[in-house]
Amino acid sequence: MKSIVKSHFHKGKVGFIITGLFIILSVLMMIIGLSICFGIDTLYQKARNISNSPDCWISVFESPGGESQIRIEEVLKSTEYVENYDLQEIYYLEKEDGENTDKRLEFYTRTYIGNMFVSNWVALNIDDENNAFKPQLRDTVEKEGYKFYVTGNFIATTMFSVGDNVRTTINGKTYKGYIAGIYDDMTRIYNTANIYVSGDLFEEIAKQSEDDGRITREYNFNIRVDSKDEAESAKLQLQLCKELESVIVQLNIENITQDPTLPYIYCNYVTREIFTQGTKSFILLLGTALVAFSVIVAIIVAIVIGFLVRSSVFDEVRNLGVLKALGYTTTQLRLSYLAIYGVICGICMLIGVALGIGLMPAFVNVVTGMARLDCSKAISVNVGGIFVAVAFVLAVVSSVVYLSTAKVKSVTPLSAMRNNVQTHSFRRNRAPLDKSKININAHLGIKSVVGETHRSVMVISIVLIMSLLCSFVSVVFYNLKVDQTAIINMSAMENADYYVNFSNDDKSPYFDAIHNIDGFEAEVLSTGVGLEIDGKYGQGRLYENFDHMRTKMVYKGRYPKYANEILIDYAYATEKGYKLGDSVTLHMERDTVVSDKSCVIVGYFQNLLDMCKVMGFLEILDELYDIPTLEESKYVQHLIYFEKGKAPNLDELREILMQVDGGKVMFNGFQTGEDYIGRAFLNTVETAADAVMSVFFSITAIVIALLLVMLIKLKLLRERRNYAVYKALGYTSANIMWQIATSMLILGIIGSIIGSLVGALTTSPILSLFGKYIGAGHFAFIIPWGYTVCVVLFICALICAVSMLCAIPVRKINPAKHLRERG
Amino acid sequence: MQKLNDNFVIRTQGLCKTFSIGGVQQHVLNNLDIDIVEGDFTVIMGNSGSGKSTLLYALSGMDRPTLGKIIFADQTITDFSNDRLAKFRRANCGFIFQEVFLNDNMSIMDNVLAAGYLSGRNRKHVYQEACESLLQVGIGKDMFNKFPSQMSGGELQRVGLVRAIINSPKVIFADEPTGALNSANSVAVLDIMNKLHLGGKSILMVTHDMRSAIRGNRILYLKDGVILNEINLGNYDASQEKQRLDTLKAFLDEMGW
Repeated sequence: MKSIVKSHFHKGKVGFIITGLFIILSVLMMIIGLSICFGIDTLYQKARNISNSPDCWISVFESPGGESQIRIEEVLKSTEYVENYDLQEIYYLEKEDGENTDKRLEFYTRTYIGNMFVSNWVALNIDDENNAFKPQLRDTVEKEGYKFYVTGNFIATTMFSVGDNVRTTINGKTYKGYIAGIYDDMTRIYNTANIYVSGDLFEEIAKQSEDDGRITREYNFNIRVDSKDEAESAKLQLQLCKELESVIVQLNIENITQDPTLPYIYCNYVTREIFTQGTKSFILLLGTALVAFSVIVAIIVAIVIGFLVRSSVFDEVRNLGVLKALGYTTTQLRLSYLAIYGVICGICMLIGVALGIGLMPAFVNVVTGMARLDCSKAISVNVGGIFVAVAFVLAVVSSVVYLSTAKVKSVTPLSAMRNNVQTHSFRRNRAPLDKSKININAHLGIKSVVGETHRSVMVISIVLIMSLLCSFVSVVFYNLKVDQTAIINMSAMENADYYVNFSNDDKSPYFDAIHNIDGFEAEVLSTGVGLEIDGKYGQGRLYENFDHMRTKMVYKGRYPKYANEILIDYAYATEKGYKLGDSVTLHMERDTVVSDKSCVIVGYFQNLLDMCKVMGFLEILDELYDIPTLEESKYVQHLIYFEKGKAPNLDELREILMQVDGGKVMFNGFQTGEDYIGRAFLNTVETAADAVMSVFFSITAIVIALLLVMLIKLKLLRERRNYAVYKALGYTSANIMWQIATSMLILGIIGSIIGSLVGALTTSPILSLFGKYIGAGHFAFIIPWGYTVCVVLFICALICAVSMLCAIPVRKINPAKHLRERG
Repeated sequence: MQKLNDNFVIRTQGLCKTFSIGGVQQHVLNNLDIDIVEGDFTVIMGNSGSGKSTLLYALSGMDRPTLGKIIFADQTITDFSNDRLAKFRRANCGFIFQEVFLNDNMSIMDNVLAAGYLSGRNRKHVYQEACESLLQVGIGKDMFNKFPSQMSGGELQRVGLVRAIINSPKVIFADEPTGALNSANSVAVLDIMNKLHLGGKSILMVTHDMRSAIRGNRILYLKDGVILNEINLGNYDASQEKQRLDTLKAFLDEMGW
């Protein structure tokens, strides 16, 4: 028995190491994947605590100390689920209008090529001692000047870096500074306008606000609610913000009644759910992908172990026969194999668990980094996840070992003495040399492929799985990064040429100028609206019409044709059981106006970011605003469409508008469709695409390389005498290396072609299957056949290179030495 | 001690081979000067560990000597790189091993063709030659596609012999070719070798077996890495087998075998 164990260890040394590595990888990824999936809810709570973020905030456009502040504080003090809050003084700095020469906030790139960012912005004081939610700062740098701290999203979506120079011109005076770091605040995660500044600059802004009418002193309440449950917390956040908003509405009503000259008080609130909604799907997807990959690696482990055990039983048939003759039972012999792999599996699982615990912060950092946050400790390893991972891998390994030793049953002392040679053999001579017309080395490579079916099936299976994954990832990468048509269709965001609005009192000259541009096609109004659908809060996007839509949002049903018709988010409809043709009630409030409207669902759209649950006509807002009023509103976007290929570029369009009315244009919004979609969505998916692509291709390369190392080492060990004979007959080392590489390459070509084809063709159906759970049940990704070919080439080149490298020890085979070894 | 012959196919000059075993230097071949004459059936005999196989492998270019020169077919093969040596063996050497060493995963015919196709000759001709040779050594057509595991030891050695001659080598090297065979099979194999010799082939055989050794015309006795002596028996004649055996026995007795 000992001899079997010893021989198995000796011959399969490389195999054991590689199997061990795969087991570690599988356990590690499953632990991390499951911990991410199980810990998604605690992620937000922990990230909140680590980043010291509030759960929500409400900014009020009234000077601190006013009536609204007193009333809001009363509500906050009397609401039992309010855990904590603070009051922040903030300044809203309106950008310079008119000729646009005086930029309110300018960010200069390090090469000083010009101003790149001009915007209204909100200054917050980083040195405010009363700020209970002073954000976590990272990547900080120190240099001369005023400090500006921006969000991670600001860095990700602009071309600026920490350390870049910045200047702001207030009331004619310029203050120079630099981006001193990034602040993490989950409620401001997607915000690029809220900028923390150092106390000295904040004081300057406060001083200048007394003389500069474009600087508004406001206040902001940061609030935390008392709930450990994420769903409940989200509900409470929204409930509280709406209650605070109603306080402002009520105050405005009272003011209008008592003194119509009093200024209208505006408020704006944001809850932490904006972060949850924007990231949950992707984080869950990443966790699921890790688990799926872990299962795939476990399948590879199963294939490799199956091969090793079967080969060992075949090699050791004589010893097994002797042991049976000595009285060992089949079960005892099979258990000896189980014991070998049990030990290996146990050791590797321990390493896997240790690595899982150790690497968890790094993975979480990647996960939260994708969400523009830096919280490596936001998810800890889940104990349940460890048990599941260990049990799963142990079950896979033990069942494969047990099944693979089934041949031990048929070994008898007699058959073993014959070295298991059957008296009646039906073995066929496949790929005979006498029929060969190709190079002898290539042919011997082919013979090796057809002669060693177990090995061939194993290599093809693993290469197939890996190329399937690579092809799958390539399709995803192409659709996320190169041609984003399909993903834009699923984003529920229209891709017009421009999104424009103006602050000028009379906007018509500017729109007239746009209408007169050669190639102008259409202008469509659109606005977002908060609403409740059958009692649940949601967001809607309303369009003047759906005649010019470029994004094919509807994947089932049709676009609305009448005012009472709407499209609804597929995931939401599935959750609620809404079918096409059903009616739902939309409840809308804006300022003091409240309205309910019954609408018919005529189609589904998909919404990966869960940002919009309903789409319909602008007429839905009739009862709140009439259309002319809405057109004047600053909330409305004007979607500008040009004929294909005729759209002016951003600078040309800006130039045209600057020439209207002596350059007094005041942009309230001005961006291309790509910017509009990109800022909110595509930047995230592009980052994800890069990460997924590099991770999967690297893992594929590692897996295939390890597999080849194992197989070729094993082959060289087993076939060293045949190779010695070949050398004696006159084959050179290079000839033999080519034989090995050819055999592997043939298997690689077969596996990679099948895998890549299957991967490319099944990407959309598989994503649709899983996508259902994140709001996207219908993926129609473009298949980039060029990429698929590249996957095949990549894998084949890898196999060729690794095989040649691994076969180099053939050079050391000395025929005289090996042929002298008797036995 | 050895006579130099102008008609040599292999000549060694000061051939030495030293192995290091456990840090101890073991000199297996000591300053050997030897000629293998073209057309001879040369047999090397000697006690176990005398360096017979080492000499055979060195002469065939399968192993490198520690010192000295080997001139084979007018080329100094000791200067060759490994690849050049392999190509040299392809054209000039045929090998018969005690354990045959056929590839178990290839049929009999494929084992022969794997060697034959290396020569780069017309494959059709190589195949025909392989068929003819196999039939000549008593391997029937029905066995061509059989695998080594399905054949007897004698049959395998005959296949090994065909593999050795398929490229018409200048010298056939045989390392104890009958060592694993019963007497009937040994005779059959040796008969074929004699036929090849009579057909003009140069054969260099290492053996312990006197019945095998008498098939050669020149017997060299190796002891402690040097050729102690040699005897010429003339070409094999089955009717004089007893006489040859006695002569050889006397020679070996003299050598202290």
